[in-house]
Amino acid sequence: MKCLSKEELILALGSDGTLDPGEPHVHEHVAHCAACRALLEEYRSVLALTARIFDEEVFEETHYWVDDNLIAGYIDNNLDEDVREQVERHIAGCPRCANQLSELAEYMKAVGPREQGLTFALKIMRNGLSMLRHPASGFHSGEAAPVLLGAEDGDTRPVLAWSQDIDDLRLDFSAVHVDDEHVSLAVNIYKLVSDRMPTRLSLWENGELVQSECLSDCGGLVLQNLRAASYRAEIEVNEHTRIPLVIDLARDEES
Amino acid sequence: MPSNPHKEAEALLAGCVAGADGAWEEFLSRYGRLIALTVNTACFRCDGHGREEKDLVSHVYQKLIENDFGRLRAWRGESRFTTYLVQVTKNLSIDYLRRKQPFFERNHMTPMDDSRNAIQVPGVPPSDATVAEDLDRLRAAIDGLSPKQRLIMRLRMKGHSLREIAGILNVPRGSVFAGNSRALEILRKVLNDGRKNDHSDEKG
Repeated sequence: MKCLSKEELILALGSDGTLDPGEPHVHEHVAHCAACRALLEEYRSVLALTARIFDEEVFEETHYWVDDNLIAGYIDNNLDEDVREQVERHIAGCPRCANQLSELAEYMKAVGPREQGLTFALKIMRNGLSMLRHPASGFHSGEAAPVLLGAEDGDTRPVLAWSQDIDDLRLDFSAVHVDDEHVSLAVNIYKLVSDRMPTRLSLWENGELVQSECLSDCGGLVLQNLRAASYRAEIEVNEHTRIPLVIDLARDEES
Repeated sequence: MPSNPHKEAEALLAGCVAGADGAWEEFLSRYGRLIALTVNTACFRCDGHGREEKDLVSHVYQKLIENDFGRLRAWRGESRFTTYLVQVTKNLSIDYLRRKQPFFERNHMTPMDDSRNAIQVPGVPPSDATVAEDLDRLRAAIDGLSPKQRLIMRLRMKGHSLREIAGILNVPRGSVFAGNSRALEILRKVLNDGRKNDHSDEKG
């Protein structure tokens, strides 16, 4: 029986000393191999003692720390390289700042991309559409080819296209100018990692549900003739996960 | 044409500070939900139910407004405004909850699982002196790790997965996997070598 590599063993080992249940071959091997079991116990011992060392660290009030701007800038990967290195070196040795970094990462995961990422504001003008506001991150402006609506009179309508990645979802939007007060919105949602697709998109106006549609098998949906208003929407990914979305459609008063 | 969110936030903050008509209302409409979600996250992590929420949201707004929006003006543009706002709101919420709830520290700030400290090598339980020696050796070894390896270990001990750590450090996953493996292996060797030396000293 060939032993597991150290890397394999470490990768399957959680910080709490448990083995990843998603790695059954590791469980099986360790159960039958005394050498790997002994190695595993050594790593567990290291983890337990390291946890205790970090847990017992005393933070001195006289210590200096990196401020909120730098912690946030580090998370956003927005700092100059030399500043980032200094911040990283500090955080690696400072329990208070490591705690701040860890907490901010957890909070951003809880509130970040879903909240910040999905408020789009569009203005409907006489000749087309304009993006007034879009999410701060993960936003990509797409190609906006006009849509041919009436082949006979060559009537083409301007399109505004954009996309947004949220966790493992990619959302492609295209808004088609209908008239001075209406827009049709096409949404396509792809799952980037697993093959389980989001199921439904719902739309509210002033707290009232105005549309709730199942997405097609390939994740597409067209919302026809939306009036210039503010809509709150929700993409239902599964019974536990819903992504909130705000689409503000403003009419250009001069058009 | 897409607008620049950085400049938009700056302009909005300048409007708030100058008392421009509708600026604060616009701030609330744009960031109110983010603030509420951050507060809710803090409350949820504190008691598991998200209680205290309304009072805390008011408290956060009060703190953001005081000193002529001092906390918001302190944003230097080194991050997205929203990330900075989450950080400030988080800390305001934690301070508030910590003052109100004596057991907050235990629930919120101590991610260490007590059971982790109970993990021991099977066999004879180590004596206090042995554990103290192990801890001293490991402390020195941890200090000798590279900053990145040390940070990976710290974040792991706070319960972050290797995948999450790669996101936080903004490095490829493979680099975090390798850093984690090397760090653990270094620490294991230091621990084993130290124990072997102790053992041979005892025999000698």
